[in-house]
Amino acid sequence: MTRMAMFRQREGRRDEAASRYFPVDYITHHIIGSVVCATIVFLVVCVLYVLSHFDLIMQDIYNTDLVGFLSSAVRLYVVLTGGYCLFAGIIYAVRYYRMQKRISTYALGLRRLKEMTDSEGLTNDDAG
Amino acid sequence: MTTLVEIKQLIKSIYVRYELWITPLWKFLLSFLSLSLINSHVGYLSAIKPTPIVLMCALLCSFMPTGFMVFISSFFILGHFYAVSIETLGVTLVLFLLMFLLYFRFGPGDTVVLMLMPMLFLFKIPYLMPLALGLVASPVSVAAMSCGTVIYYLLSYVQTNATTMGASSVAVGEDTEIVVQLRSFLTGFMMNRGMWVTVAAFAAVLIVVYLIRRLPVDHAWKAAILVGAVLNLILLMVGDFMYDTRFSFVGVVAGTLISALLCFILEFFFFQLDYSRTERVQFEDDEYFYYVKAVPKVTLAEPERRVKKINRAHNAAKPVHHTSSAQSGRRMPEPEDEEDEMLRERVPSRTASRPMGAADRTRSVAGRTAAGRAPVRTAGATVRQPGSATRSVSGAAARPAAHRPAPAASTRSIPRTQAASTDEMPDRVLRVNKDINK
Repeated sequence: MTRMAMFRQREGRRDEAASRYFPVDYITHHIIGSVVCATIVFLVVCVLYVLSHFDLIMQDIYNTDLVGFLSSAVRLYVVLTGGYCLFAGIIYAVRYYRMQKRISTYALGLRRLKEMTDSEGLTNDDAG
Repeated sequence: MTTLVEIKQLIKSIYVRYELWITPLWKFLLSFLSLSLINSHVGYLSAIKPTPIVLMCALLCSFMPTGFMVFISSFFILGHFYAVSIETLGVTLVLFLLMFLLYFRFGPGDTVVLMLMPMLFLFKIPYLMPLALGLVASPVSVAAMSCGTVIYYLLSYVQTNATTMGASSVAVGEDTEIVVQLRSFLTGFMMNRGMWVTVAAFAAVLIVVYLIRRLPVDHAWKAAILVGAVLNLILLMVGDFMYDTRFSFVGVVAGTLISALLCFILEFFFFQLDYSRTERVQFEDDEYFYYVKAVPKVTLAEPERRVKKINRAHNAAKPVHHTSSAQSGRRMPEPEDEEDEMLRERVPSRTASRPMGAADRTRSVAGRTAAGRAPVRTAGATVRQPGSATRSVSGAAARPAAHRPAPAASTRSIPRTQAASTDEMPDRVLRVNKDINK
């Protein structure tokens, strides 16, 4: 009972919020967030790179294959973002699985508690 | 060893009892230490350097979630770097943004690791962190530890090069110069081989320690600490040999030894098992067979509190005996109500530690006036319960000890002339003693 109360106060709130999702929805929701974060990071790093190499870029701008440069940048973006999202998907899938386990353990505990109180013939007021 | 276990249990009980105050206290100390170290090492912005500001920020952190400590520390670092140069601020801001977006979405609970890591570097024992995290955390903590390492090297780099970085920006102030500054800062910081060797070595140590301490073998934690310490030494020395990172050999060895010792203390607090009482059991339920190895933790049984009861009588006709159960050879009666419970809790701390002598018995009846215990309150209690016999007792209590007749040494009970002649006597005596004990 103490463990159940502790769970209710600590992980319970977060798990309860997460348990409202289906697994696919939960993971997809976080993967979309990860895509947004990865995109922002990629853009920021690109800006930093351009700023730090601005003089070199301006010198060679007419000799640079812009299409090739952009395509390689897009490829890099896809690889990095894809890898990050895969990582995020695994992490959130594991989290959802663990959360489900905790919730089911909690529900089992609640059921046992109810059986105990029923067998002792206690009302809710007495038990509370 | 028993004493150490007792001390450990005492510390745990104190922490559990005063957790409400201890948690803000450690948050305050950690924030104060962190901000003070930032100010002392990269304190270029004088506006946020005074101690009162640091104290106020630390006080704020003590009542906020741990993530707020990271926010305040980041704010201090960015402020100081702004005073150095705008390029330094830009790069640091991007670095913090990367850390926040990429990592702290997953592991917001490891903020303390991020705060502690640069501190441990300054205390010359950063090797403690991978060993300790391998013991008590999971491999996910590698990210927080690596971020902390990078932040330390960033602070160190800026501290070393602040003069050149700030001087050229202020003196020239041209766009091309800013670009050059930005590039040199990025190159100098990111090409720091020592940083990457340290990050890689610490990550490997943490994972190896974690894997070993999870093994179902005896003394897994001790083995994990030893293997982790040796691996740490080897990796850093090999890294130094390969990439010329200029680690101090003596510093690495001494720091690793100290870290290993601290980890053994950690083990004492978190994983002290009695392997001599290991049990192997098998059982089954509807779905599984279980083969279980159970190793009990080393704990001490709670010391039994012996209560010597005084001033207790079941009826007024009998005298009130002031003797312990051991002295009289009788078993002490069980408490009958809450007042008795309170008395049982309070009395032992003052009287039960030694056999009660005749003078003690008299003092306990007379309100312990001679020992300097609030005679006024005793007398007040008596006024509320008027009675001739009781008045004589309280009168003795109210008088100074020097003016009281000396009690007989052989007295083991209150004479009936001093005790109440009605059934109220036990309650009255209890009430008087409760007042005294307050």
